[in-house]
This record gives sequence, structure tokens and C-alpha cells, in this order.
Amino acid sequence: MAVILCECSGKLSSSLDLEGLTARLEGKGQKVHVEKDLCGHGFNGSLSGGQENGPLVIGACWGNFPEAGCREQMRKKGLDPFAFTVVPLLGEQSADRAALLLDAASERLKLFPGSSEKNLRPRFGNTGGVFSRRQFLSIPKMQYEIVPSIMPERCNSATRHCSVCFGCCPSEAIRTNETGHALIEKEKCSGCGICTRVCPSGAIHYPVHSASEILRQVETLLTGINEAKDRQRAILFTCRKSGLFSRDYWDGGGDIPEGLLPVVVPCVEMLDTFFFLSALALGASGIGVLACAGACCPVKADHARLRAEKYLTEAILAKLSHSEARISIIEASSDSLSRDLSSFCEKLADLDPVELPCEEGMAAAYDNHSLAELLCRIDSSQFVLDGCAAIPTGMVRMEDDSSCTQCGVCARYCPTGALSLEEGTTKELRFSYGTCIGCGECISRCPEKVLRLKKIIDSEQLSQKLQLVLASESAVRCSECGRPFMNQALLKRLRAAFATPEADSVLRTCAECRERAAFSVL
Amino acid sequence: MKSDIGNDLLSGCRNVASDRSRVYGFLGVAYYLPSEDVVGVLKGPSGREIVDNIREIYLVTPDFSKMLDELRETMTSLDNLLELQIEYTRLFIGPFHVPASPYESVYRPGSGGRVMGESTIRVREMYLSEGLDLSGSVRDLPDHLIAEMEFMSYLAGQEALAWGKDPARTLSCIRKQEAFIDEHLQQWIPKFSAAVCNNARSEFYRLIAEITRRIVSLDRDYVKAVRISLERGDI
Repeated sequence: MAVILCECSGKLSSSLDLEGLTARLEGKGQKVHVEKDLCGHGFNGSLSGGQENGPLVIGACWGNFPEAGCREQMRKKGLDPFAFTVVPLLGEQSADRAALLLDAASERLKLFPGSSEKNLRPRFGNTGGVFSRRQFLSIPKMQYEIVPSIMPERCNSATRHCSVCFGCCPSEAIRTNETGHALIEKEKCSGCGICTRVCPSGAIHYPVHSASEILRQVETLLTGINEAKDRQRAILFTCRKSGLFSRDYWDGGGDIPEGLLPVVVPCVEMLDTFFFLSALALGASGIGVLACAGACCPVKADHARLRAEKYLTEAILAKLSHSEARISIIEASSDSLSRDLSSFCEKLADLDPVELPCEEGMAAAYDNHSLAELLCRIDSSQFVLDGCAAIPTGMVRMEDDSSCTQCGVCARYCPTGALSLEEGTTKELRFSYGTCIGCGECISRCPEKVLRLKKIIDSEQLSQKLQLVLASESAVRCSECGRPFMNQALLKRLRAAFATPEADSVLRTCAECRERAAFSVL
Repeated sequence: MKSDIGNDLLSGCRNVASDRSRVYGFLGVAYYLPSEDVVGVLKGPSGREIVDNIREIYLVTPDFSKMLDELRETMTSLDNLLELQIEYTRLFIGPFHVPASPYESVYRPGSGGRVMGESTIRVREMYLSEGLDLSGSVRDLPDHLIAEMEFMSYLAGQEALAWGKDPARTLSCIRKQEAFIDEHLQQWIPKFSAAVCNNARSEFYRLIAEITRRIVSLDRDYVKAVRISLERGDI
């Protein structure tokens, strides 16, 4: 791992104490190089030296760093072309903060699993940015982007008919192949990462932007280089296109307040309560989400979902008796963006610090991206919460268990396996709270219409991993051999369906005895 | 300046198309029964050049890059012709059990693992649509791996000729390649490649099968990207 800093015509060094920054980073064990005019040439120079072998963190002057050219250089050297990250440092005043940003980016990069063909997608030409003739020559005609892919060994689409991600994809890029396995059509994918948020089995692999990588960066930002620990630190989630890192913003007098630390995600629509609560539990004093108007990006989101997630986080904070005004969705396109950001920070300064005492091993919850598991690890007073649209856990109840025929349709179509039909000595329909995502598939599939779903968070029952038996067998025994062969509800249904005396007598014996009776006539 | 960039892109696309044509041609050669001539091509400068071409055209991840280096090493040391022929025959021809049959229809569902299935007919129809057919001297089926690779090589070559001259022909060549990869190569090459990798005793066939699989999947993404940009009018 090495850090390369740009010194574009002295731009970075005019505002920032580069020597101090270098010293701080070297104190953390990083190798640091300062490169003249890095943003201009996409570092032909420093890589040709051949001294770099590992992943790179690039401190660039502005957001439109020529990444494609850089990727090409890495590729030609036989390095992983995606093993670098760019940290825009334009307008950065404090060497402390710059060191923190670079260090956090490098921690995030350390978790990058390496690119594979499954996650690469070629694309032609224009990157959308403005580039000079010299840059143009160094930009390859074909460029590559990282897109998510589905890990077939984790995906439940073929085994459990899970289709949760299908409807959520704004570019309709997810479909099943001929064997029933879900796959992402690379060429349609916009890379927003919303599918990683909704997948209940964590089957979507999105290198660079996985929850564990993003939260690792958040964690380092909040706990890393600890020179001003008592200072409030808030996280600002933003996408690359929000304009925060554009030259226009800075030239127009824009600024990012000192206490606000930006974290780049592919699209803010991929964020949910899990991310917000994790960041707060890691020590953030607040969370800003920079929401673009949606017109510029392929997702074209109205952010209704994001607002619902914000509402849920606030509701949970209120239940944990914390002040709820910690989260703010800030319009990126607003003319007063700079003012909005600083007023958000000022508002946070008046609040008491958040304390969400967290169990050890929270990092394990990142991987599963499960709010239920996270809530179990935040040890605090018990609470029950319902009535929020974004609640990710559901409770299934049986309204009338005498009508359940235990056909098993609900269990077969449950995408997470929260409902299961256990056929041991007695037949039981079991439900496990915490695994249920409240998708409602069982409700719409149930032929008897006896199941009811409520979206609810009950933290006590979550941590106890509540298991319910929704229906257990009340067996009907064969009048001939005495073995159980059907349950009461099914018998009632069949009697009602074939209301004749013949059917009544047939339904008294099991299939084997009926067969025997038929043969004895012969 | 604008037109400069335009010309640059066009000639870039043309070069990539002709390079891809050579890569497919090379993959075809690699699956011929090894003779003095075949091994001569593999060991010669063009074999080494192709490996570099693959690096140029596709975004090669470090593990794939290592595999290409290994292939280059292996190819230069292909000395024992007889041993290679024996291995080739054992893997692809028989006489009894064929561990990795090089015919598409064997791997397609519905053919029952036999040659000359429905896909064989459809492959030949695609050849005929381009005015091509297997020449009388080839006593083999149209869905043999070599024939399919050579067909891709032909289409990419035609695409290279059409770039900048005949946009309609360019697009039709690209669409045909996309359809051929989607409907044929991608449907069976992964299974074939796994069969070779699991059964090969020779390093060369193991590597070339794995590389074929990766190239087909990389090329699929590439062709789709070109098609989308062409349809959008970006190029």
C-alpha cells in the first residue's frame, strides 16, 4: 500500500501543508510520494519507476481525476487495475483531516478482494468529463467498470424462488437464466448497488462497494488518527456525481465543513437503516446523505425509499431515547449546498453525543448486512417498533390454524427460509423471527388465506431469536389400519369440495388401504 | 480536433476487431490435431504475439495474466510431438470414452450427449447466412470447436474490414457475433473447458481450455459494449 499525492501546479500545496501531511502518513506506516501534475497525466511518471506493487491511494486535487488512464497504467504493469482509490483533496485546509481521509480510504482499499472478470464490464469512450488532448491519448478507447455479480452458491433464486432483487433494480438488469438462477446482465447494470441492500442472503458481490468495505472506511474515519477525539465527527454519504468534488463547486466558494467526513458510495439509494445505525454505533455524531435530484443518474430516484429509511432510523433512535435529529438528507443540486452542509454541522454541535453501546464483533454484522443482527449487538433497553414502511423484519402469525392444511406452499416460496415445514414425528409449520424480511410472499401464496404479516421490530424477541410453531399436525387416522394419513383441515376441505357419500367413505381410509380394498374386489 | 478523435476511435475499433479475429483464429489452430505445422505455429512468433494481443484487447486481471505467461512458457517448450498427439487423441477423439468431446451438441440439453443434435443444424444455418459452409475436404461436423472458432474469426475479420466504410455491415457483423456467442459458445464452452481441465494430463490443453473459456466470456462483454455504443451512436 502506498499513497501518492498530487501537486498540480502547486494547487494542493497552496492550501495544504504537504510536508506535515506526509509526516503524519509516514507515522502511520504508509509510503508516500508527492507527484507533480498528477491529475494532468494520470501518473505515467510514478508508476514507470516500478517501485509500487501494491494497492494505491491517490490524493488528487479534484474529483475528475483521469482514473481510466491510471487503470491502463496499472494494467500494463500487470497490477490489478482496480486496486487504487482516489481521494479528492481539493480545498483541503487541514493536514490532520487530509491524513484521516487518506488513511480511511486505504483501510477500505485493504478489504478490496481483487477484481475478477465476473465483476468487470467494458464500456466505450466518453467518461463524461472534460479532458485535454494529452489526457485523451493516455485514455484507452475501451474502459472498464466494476459491477455487482451474484454468487450462485449463496443465491436462493433457484432453490427457494427468491425474487426480491428482481423488482428493485432500476435498470431491470436482473433476470433468471434457464436453470432458474438469478444473474445480473452486466451491460444493463447501472452499478447503483441497490440490489446489495435488498438481497436477504448476501449473495450479491460488489467489490469496492460492499457494506464491509464502506463501513471499514467509516470506522477508520471515526476512530483513526486520534488527535482530536473530542471533536464531533459526522459522516457525509455521497455519490461521485453529486457535484461535491467538482471544480465548479469549489470555484463557486463551496466548502465541506471540518467535522463532516465524506464517504463515497455508488448511489445513496443503496444506503439503509443498517448503514445509518452502524455509522452511529461506530461513533458518528450525525449522518448527512447528499441526494442528487436524480435527473443526472440512471437511477432517477425520487428518494422516497431513502426518506423511509431515514424515518425508520429516527424512530429507532427515539426508542433508544436518543435525540433523533441526527440524520439529514441534503439536496445536492441546491445552490446553497455549502450553507446547508455547515448548518447541518452546527445543528449537530448542539446535540448530546450518541452512545450506542455495542457488543464486540460488530464487524461480523457488516458482512451479512442484517439490521436484525446489528440490533442484537446494540445492547440497550428493549423496544417494540411498528408502523414504519422500511422495517426490514416481519412477524408472520396464523389467524386460524384449524384451516391450515400444511400444504407447505408458504415454506417453499419463503425466500429466506423463515417459514419451514418440519416433517418429523409430527408435522409442524415453523416460523423464525429475525430471518423473516417481511416480503409478504407467503401471504399472497397461501391458498387458505390464513397467514397474517406485520412489519415489526421487537428487539427482545430479535435477540432471543424467537421461534414459533404456527401449525402442528392434528392427524386423521385411517379407519382401517390406524395410521395417520391426513390432517383435519385438509379433510375438512376435501369433504366440502366433494360433498357426496362416496367421497365421505373414501376419505376415511389411507391411500394404501383404498388400494387394497380395490384389489380385494377383484 | 473532433474528427481527429472520431478517426482515432474508428481505427482503434478496426484494430481491435482484426486482433480479435486473430485470437479466435489462433484458438482454432490450438485445437487441431497437433502436427509439425500446428506446433510450429504455436511455438513461433505469432503464438507469442497473440498472447500479447489478448493482453491488449481485454482487461486482464492479474491471475489471468499469470495464466497467459504460463501458456507462453508451455508453448515454447512443446517438444514432444508424439506425446501431445496421444494426449489430444485421448481427450478429444477416442476410441472409447471421450473425456472432452469438442462438439457443441454433446453439451446441449436435449441431445442426450450425442453429436449431430439440433444445435448442429442451427450452427450450420448461421454459417450459411454468411454464405459459408464446411468445405468438402473437411470430414467433420459444423459444430466442432475449430469450426466455431474459425467462424468467429471470420466475423471479426469482416467487422474489421467494414469499420469506417460500411456502418450497416459493421453493426450486422457485431450482432451476429453477439448472437453466436450468446446462443452457442457461451452455452457450451464453460462445460467443455471444465471437462478438459478435469481430465487433461497435459499442461498445454488445460491452459488453452481455461483461456478459451475466459476469452469467450470477456469477448461477450466486449461485443455487447460495442453493439450498445454503435446503436446509441457513440462511435
